[in-house]
Amino acid sequence: MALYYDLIAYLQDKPQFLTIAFWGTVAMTVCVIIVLAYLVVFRISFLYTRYRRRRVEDAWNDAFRYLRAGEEPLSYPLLPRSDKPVFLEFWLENRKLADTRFAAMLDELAKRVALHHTITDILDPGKVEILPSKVWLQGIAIAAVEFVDRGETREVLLQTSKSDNLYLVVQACTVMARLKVKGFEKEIIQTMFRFPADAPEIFARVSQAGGSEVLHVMQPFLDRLPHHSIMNFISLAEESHDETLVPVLLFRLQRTQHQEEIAALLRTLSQFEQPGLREIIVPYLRHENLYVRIQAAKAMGHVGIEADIEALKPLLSESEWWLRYRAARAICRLCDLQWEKLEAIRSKLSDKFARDILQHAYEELDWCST
Amino acid sequence: MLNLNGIEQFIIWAFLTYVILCSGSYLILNLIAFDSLRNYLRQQRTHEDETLYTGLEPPISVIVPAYNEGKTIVASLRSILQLNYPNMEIVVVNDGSTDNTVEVMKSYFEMEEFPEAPRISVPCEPIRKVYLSRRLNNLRLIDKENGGKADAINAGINLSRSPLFCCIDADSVLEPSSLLRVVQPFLTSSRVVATGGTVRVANGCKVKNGHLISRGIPKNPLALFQLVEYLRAFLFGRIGWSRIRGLLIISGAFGVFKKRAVVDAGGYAKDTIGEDMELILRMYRTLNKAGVRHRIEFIPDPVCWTEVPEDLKVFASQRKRWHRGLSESLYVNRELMFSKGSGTVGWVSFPFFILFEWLSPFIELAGYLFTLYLFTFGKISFIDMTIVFSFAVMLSVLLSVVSFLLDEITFPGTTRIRSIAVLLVFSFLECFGYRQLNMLYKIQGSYDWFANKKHEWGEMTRSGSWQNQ
Repeated sequence: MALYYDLIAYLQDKPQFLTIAFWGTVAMTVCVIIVLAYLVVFRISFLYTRYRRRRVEDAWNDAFRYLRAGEEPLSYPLLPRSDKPVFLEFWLENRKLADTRFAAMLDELAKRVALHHTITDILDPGKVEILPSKVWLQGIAIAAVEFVDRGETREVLLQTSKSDNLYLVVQACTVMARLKVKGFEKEIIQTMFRFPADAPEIFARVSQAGGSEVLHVMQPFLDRLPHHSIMNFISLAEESHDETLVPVLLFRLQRTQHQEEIAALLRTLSQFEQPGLREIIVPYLRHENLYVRIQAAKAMGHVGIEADIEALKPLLSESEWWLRYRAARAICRLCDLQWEKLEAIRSKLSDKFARDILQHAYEELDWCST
Repeated sequence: MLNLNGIEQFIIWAFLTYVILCSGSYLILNLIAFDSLRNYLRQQRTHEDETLYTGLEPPISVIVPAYNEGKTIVASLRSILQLNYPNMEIVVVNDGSTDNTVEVMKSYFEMEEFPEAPRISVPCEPIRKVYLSRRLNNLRLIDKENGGKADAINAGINLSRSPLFCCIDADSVLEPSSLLRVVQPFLTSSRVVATGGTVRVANGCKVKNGHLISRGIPKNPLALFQLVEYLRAFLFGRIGWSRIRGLLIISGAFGVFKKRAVVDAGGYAKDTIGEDMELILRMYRTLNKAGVRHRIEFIPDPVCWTEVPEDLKVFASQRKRWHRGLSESLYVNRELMFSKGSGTVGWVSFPFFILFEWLSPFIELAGYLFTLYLFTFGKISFIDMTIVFSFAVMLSVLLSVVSFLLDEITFPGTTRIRSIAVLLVFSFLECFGYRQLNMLYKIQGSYDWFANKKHEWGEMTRSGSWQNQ
């Protein structure tokens, strides 16, 4: 302290830059201390959360082991009120992985430890205000609703989907999709428009939860969805292998101008054996966008016929390797990997790169097939 | 004391303003990075990993330039092979190695000669042979004449099959999900032409079979200083720059590029040392001229671990090279500065790099000499000097501490408290020797560039102990 006062006295008749440097140093030191304190608090809170989780896990691991073995646990450990959220998280993780028999036991366990009450407490906006610190807890509780579903909680899900917190909204929409709550599609569409930047992820989560049924539900709203959600829709349609979605995809292909969408649609459509598909795809071999041409070439390998080789030939001389390669592979497939046919095509090509890539694709396919 | 005339007072004010502006800018960048990180982590938490695979990931060619990497190439490739990515090919480019790199590859991965149809889009030295692995059909080896790292990458670009390519140093270790994450910006916007990921110091970490099994801090003091510097300047600074769309560097150790944009820019320049920064600046310039709207992004959490030099000689050579590279890149692409349509890059980042990166060692040296002059001629006392120096030190420590906090928020609980304490001590100590040493090497690098000295890659000795574990 004495040093501090000495320095203050020293600076009395000194130029201003020294005073600035001195007070600047003091200010920086205070800032360093504040930042370090924040770091320590952050670490302590992280460690405390981990400690609580371990405490709950240690206490309940035995009981869960017994339950997994189909036996009655020797005891149901007491749960301090502060540990209930952690238990909820632990329970939920186990519940998500559980098989039918174990799941039923876990639901019973949830009743015994009054988990229902905990969830209702957390979800009831009349009882607990939506505070930032409670958000993660509410998110877990909402996810748990899926398993301990009761009539009144569905209403809570609909309310939560109107929240301003994206995390809660996504959780609520996901659970609604899984439970097929009445009117959920309308809520999801509204949510995606409220959070346009996160719409793709919301849609992805919701459709992963709801499966191809959700795709059918979302189909009438496709034009209203943001681009990334449509990309998700196409991707999920591809995964679902649901042929009933083909008309929707074709309709979208005719309407969209978005090149990424066209490329994805071509890729997805080529997996379905639908009559008339090749006539639709052929014009896209001359599309201005590289990725569209790549997907069109790839698709021709699946749905094309030998007569389409002529349309594929110009792509063998493109500057992009990947496109040349895809076109070459498609031609190889359309020739049933018969070297004589390919050689006849190859010998008529004037471009060295086109000849080389055709040989490359043949040798690779032939090599893989042996 | 303090019998300063007008000019001396003016010079002191100028130095003080420079220090405040420089540190203040970095602090602002760190705060922007803090905000950016919070949003990023919130999104990650909300959407979790299950949305990482969308099934629409574009194919990527991973280009691995290798020169005399016979001892480590297998470990490096095993690390790359554990990457989670649905559509990836690996192109190893042997840049005329004089050791047994090709033989090791041929025997371990059962490489066989395979006909290829390369189209030379960017200049490179003649390609001798191309091999394909019998064990892994997505692994190829290109054997070419020696031409340097940039030339090897150019050869890789010519033979790569995918529209995107990723450059990885043969001595780096990647987190399994890093490629999947770093490619995400390409999925959300067609304007993205390049993305980079976080590169961290691997010294002190344990690596087994290409996997990082535990994190730690190095024992070597020089590596510790560099760790502090990496966290402060290279890591969170870049997140901040990316947020304001002014990123000028994608690390050569780990970056993903749109091949078409790189080819249009002419590929990697062989006659420059800082080829990674030069390429980014040239891409900005070419795309601006062509009127193509573009974005270059930095993703905070894809982590690439790389080793920093623990030997002073190697460190000196590296720093001289870096600063020479910076000088070359800025000079060659000078027309980007304040050019029409160059946005944050031309109007903020470029002048910032000139003022606070390129000129900083000269201004720092001038500051030390001027203080020495004032002290020698009795114009300032030791206490005055200490006060001014303390200010600069505390600014630097604050910047380091903020970066520790950001690191804690990004990867909670991964750095031990003891390690943070050690780093704190080193963030203080770096102002007494390390910083001055760095300054001298940078000046030497600038001199080498100015005198147009022939540049050499030098022997980049690495301990490699973590690679071989």
